[in-house]
Amino acid sequence: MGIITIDKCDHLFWLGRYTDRVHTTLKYYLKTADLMIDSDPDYYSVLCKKVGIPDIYGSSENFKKKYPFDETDPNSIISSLNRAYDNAIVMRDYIGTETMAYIQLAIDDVKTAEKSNAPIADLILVIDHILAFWGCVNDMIDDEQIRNIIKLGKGIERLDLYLSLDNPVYEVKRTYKRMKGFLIKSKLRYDESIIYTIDSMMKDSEFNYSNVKNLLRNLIQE
Amino acid sequence: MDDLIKKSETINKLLARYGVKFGIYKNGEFKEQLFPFDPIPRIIKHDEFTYLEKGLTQRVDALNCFLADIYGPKHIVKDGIIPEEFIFSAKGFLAPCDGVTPPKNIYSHISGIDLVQSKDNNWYILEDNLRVPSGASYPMIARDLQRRGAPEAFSDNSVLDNRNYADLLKEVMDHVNTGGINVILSPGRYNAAFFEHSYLAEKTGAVLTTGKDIVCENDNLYYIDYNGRKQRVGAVYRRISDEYLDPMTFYEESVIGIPHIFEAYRKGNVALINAPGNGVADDKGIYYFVPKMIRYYLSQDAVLMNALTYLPYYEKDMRYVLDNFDKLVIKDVAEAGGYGVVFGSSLTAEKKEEFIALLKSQPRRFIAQEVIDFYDLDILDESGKSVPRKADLRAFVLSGDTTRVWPSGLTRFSRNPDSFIVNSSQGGGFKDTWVLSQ
Amino acid sequence: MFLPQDTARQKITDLNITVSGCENYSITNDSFNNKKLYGLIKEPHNNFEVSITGTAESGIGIFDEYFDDPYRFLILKAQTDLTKPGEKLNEYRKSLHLDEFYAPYDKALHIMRSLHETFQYNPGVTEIHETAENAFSLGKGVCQDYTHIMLSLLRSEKIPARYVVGMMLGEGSSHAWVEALCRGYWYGFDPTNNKLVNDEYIRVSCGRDSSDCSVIKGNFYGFTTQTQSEAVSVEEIITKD
Repeated sequence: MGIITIDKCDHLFWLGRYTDRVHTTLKYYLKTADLMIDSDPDYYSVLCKKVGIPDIYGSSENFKKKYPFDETDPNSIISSLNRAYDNAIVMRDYIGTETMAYIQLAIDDVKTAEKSNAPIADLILVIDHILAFWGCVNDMIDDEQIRNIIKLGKGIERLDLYLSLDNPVYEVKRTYKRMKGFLIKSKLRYDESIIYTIDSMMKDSEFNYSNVKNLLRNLIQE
Repeated sequence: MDDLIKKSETINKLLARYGVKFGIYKNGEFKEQLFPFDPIPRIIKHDEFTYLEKGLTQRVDALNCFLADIYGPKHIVKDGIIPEEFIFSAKGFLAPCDGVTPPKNIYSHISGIDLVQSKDNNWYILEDNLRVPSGASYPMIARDLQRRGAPEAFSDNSVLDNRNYADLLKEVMDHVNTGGINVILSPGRYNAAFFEHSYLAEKTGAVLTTGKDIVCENDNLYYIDYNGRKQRVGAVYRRISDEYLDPMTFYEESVIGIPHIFEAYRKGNVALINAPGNGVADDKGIYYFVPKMIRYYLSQDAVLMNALTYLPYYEKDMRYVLDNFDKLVIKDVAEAGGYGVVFGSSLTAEKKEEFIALLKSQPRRFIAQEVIDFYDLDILDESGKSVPRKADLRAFVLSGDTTRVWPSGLTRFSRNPDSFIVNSSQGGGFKDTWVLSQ
Repeated sequence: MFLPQDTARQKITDLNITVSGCENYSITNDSFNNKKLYGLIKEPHNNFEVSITGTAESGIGIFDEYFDDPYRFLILKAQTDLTKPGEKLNEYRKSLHLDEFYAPYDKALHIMRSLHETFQYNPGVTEIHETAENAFSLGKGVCQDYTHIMLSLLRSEKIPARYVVGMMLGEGSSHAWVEALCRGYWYGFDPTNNKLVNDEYIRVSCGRDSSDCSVIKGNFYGFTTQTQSEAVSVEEIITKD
């Protein structure tokens, strides 16, 4: 292949971001669903606040039904998955029909789970297919740069969500380190001073999550 | 074959997994649908295919000669074979193409020739598609998946592999390429055939683009990467229609084309697949003249027959059409995709009178044909019972170094028992097309 | 944008082209053999100017081109969407009794004279891409409408004819007239002024109708309102024989 245009970079990057958004938010949704069983029935509003989406659900039951499945809600998991699909389909010639199929299968999983009598259990299949997608990215895409741009998107999205969801410092640090590796290998232009700043912030055992979040926003340059 | 029917569910699942879909606009909203697939293949025997191959090659060769002639010396008009009214005032004739010779002098690289079989087993040409015929990707991927789902069907029958379509296409692109990369130019994600555009890009190794990354400079076309580096483009398999190809030459409001791409083409610096201006050769008016073209350019008799066609433009034909109106099918020359087709017998007395008045005032606009008694193909209906349905065959003919007929094709069928319309946009489905190797 | 070029009637020298923000333009010929300048400016900009100056020696011949192959111009015999006659124009053509004339040149001359009498010059009545039939029904229009109507009549008489854009001495904008193919020679007829095209005319481009030969044409991407202006100035330089 070899030639990557600005548009294609964008699609690869957002393919990675949306795919990981589905993965990470789905895992958090499963955790939330568990908490809502007995310990904190209204925990969903915490999720909304942390992920930064409007709380339009009104009840935990409604949240459980809508958040993964509602295609008319732009913040739902299925909507993120559809955006991943949108970015994948225009990159079929770079990522391959085989790889793309796993995004399609994940979409089909969500639709099947919605109709199932154990929707939460069946949503696990979505994670299976997303992991298969990443396996396929590693296995089937020969071009290193293409792989790394997709993974950079994944790394940035996961870091951003971990910071939002108050994940433990060691997880944030580990995710940041992995993202940095993809960033360098992606050969995209980025602001080195931001990396320098974050690097020095992370030397401390504690640091301000939202400052890091804000810095990340301007990391990659057009 | 029973194996295919038994495993049709598995195969449909695979088709869904790989996103074998086409886009459709419903109430202004874009939706993707699975292209309905029927497991019973159309089978073309070896000898029959040899006959079709001969006729199709000949037809496409003559059509390419015609296009080179019309945009060049225009002998066929000078010699009075085709009246000039059918050419220079046709919508498909593009004045900017006059005098422009495409690389290797090939106009129609990928021709989609639609045929039907009649009850007496004769094949008839229904229409030629020389602009951007689509559909080859569907049987190509369906075959791949069927071989996985029902391998016995293919070990028990000697079926020619049709998955070489991408290789044939790549050979054509490479043959006319003027020195640079091959690209597939798509109008974008929300085009009905986007699956095909992206699938063919993947399988031919051509770069898929919507044109945003391509510029024309000094009569050359370049593809620009994220660092601003330029790479020359030598061949563009464009899946956007002539009108939208270049806003500076054709439709000014087009935002999906590439400004000035026509200038690079005019200078011979890039191949456009297919060449712009081909619409002059595949309209329903010119269809009537194709057998005459074959005689004129190749000194041969046409192997494959047209459906018996009358041109109301000629007084004798007009009289026949009026006398036999009820048994004919009348087609609007400018329409496509199954639109603008009227069966004489289906009209009420009042509508008929109206239509005849229109026909008399614009005779050049219509052709009339004898209704062909279709040989129906079996399909599986929803309950799994086989029922006969109308079907056609789109054969793909590729013109590069030589003219070759792809040993398969797109067999489309109507799902409605009373309908002749097989187009996917109107609810039709598709079947695999087997060409037997012996 | 089209550039004037040499014909049998005119000779262009000292052509000087300046295009703002673009040194990298190209010059090519289109299928009507017009000389065309084109280019692309990728950088954002908020104005765009083209200026072309030069000297035209005109009146060298009385026709613009000669061809011995009439089939070359079959395209120019076919009506276009803008010139296609309707009821009114067909009636008018009948009233001209063109069958009384034999030579294409005489027919063209008669059409020009009659049309100049019948049709009234009046700007602001017709639209930019008005059809010949509509303009004729309105009874008034500008040089573009005169030209389209005359083209329509000539083509109905099976005479190849083309739309010409050019300039006239002392005018403030571009002008349009007709060229008709008369026994291999392309002659210019100006129905707006009822004149045969002579040394007062500088020819720039030609085509089937106005849409083929608008002097300047372009696209830009962006959200903005735009204004466009065009100025043509032709001054006479008298040289001694």
